[in-house]
Amino acid sequence: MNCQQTSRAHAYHDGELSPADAREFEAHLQECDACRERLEELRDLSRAITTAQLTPMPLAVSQRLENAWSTARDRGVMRIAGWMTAAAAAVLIGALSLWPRDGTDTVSPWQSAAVMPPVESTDEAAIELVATQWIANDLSLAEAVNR
Amino acid sequence: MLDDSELLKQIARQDPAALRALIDRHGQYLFGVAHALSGNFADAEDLVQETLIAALSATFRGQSSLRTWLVGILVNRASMQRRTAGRRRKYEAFASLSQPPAEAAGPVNAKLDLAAMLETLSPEHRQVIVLRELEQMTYEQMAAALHVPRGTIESRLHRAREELRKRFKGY
Repeated sequence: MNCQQTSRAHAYHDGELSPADAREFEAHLQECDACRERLEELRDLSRAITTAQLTPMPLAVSQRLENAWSTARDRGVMRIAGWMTAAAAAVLIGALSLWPRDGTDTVSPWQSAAVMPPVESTDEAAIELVATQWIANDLSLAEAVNR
Repeated sequence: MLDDSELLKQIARQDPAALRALIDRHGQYLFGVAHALSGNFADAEDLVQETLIAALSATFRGQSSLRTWLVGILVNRASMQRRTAGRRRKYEAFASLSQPPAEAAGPVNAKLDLAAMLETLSPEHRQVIVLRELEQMTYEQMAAALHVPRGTIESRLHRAREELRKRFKGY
C-alpha cells in the first residue's frame, strides 16, 4: 500500500482540508485503494477511541475533590485575613505613636528636645575669648605682611 | 438545572452545592481522561484537582463547551506534571484503596479501555489523541492549547495514529 497522498487522509478525516483540496482528495479516493483503506482505518480507530471506556472515578476521589476545593478556598480566605490583620496592626501602631499623651506620662529627653525652640548661648566670657583670639590672629598676620 | 457557565459563577461565589454539581457533571469524564493521560490513579486525581482549582481562577469565555475547556486545562496540567518519586510512592501507598471495585468498573470486556489503548503512547501523543478524537478540536485549537506549532500537532497526531493503527488493526 504505497501512495504519496495517504498522509492527506488524516487531514481529510479531521476536516482540515480546504473545500477545494477535499474535493480533489475525494476524486483521488475513487481511484486509490491504499488511501481508501487508510481512511477506513482512521475511521475505525476514531470509533474505537470515542467508544472506549473511561476509567470510572472512585467515590472517595469525588469527596476528596470537594475537600481540596474547600481547603483551597479557606487558604485564600485565611491569606486575606492575614493581610487584613497585618494592615490593622500597622494602623494601630501608627495611631498610638501619634496619640496625644496626658501629663502623667514621662517625656523622653529626645521628645522635649524635638519640640523646644533653639537655645541661644549666654556665656559671654566664651564669646569674648573667641573674639580676642580672632583679633590676635589678625594682628599677627598684618605684622608678618608689613615685614 | 444551571448551565455550565452559570455553574462556574456560582462556584466563584463559594457555593459548595455548585461545585458538587460540577463534579457530578464533569468529574467522571475528566477523571477518565486524566487516567488515560497519566496512566495511574494518583496522578489522575491530582490532575482533576489541579484542573478544577485552575478553572476557578480562570475565565471561561464560552468559545467552546465547558467540558472541552476543562479538558484543555487538564491536558496542559498533564504536560506540566512532573512524575516525581514522591508522587509514585504516594500512588503505591493508596493505590489499593483508590482502585475502583471490580463491579463498579462496568462491562470492561465489552469495549476497549481508553487508558489501556493509550498506555504505549508517549505523553505528547496521548494529548493530541485526547484533544482531537474526544474533544474534536481543530489543529489550530490544539496548537493553541498545547503551545506548539500546527505542524507539530499534525506530525504528533499522524505518528500517534500510526502507532495505534498498527496495534489495533482489525479491531
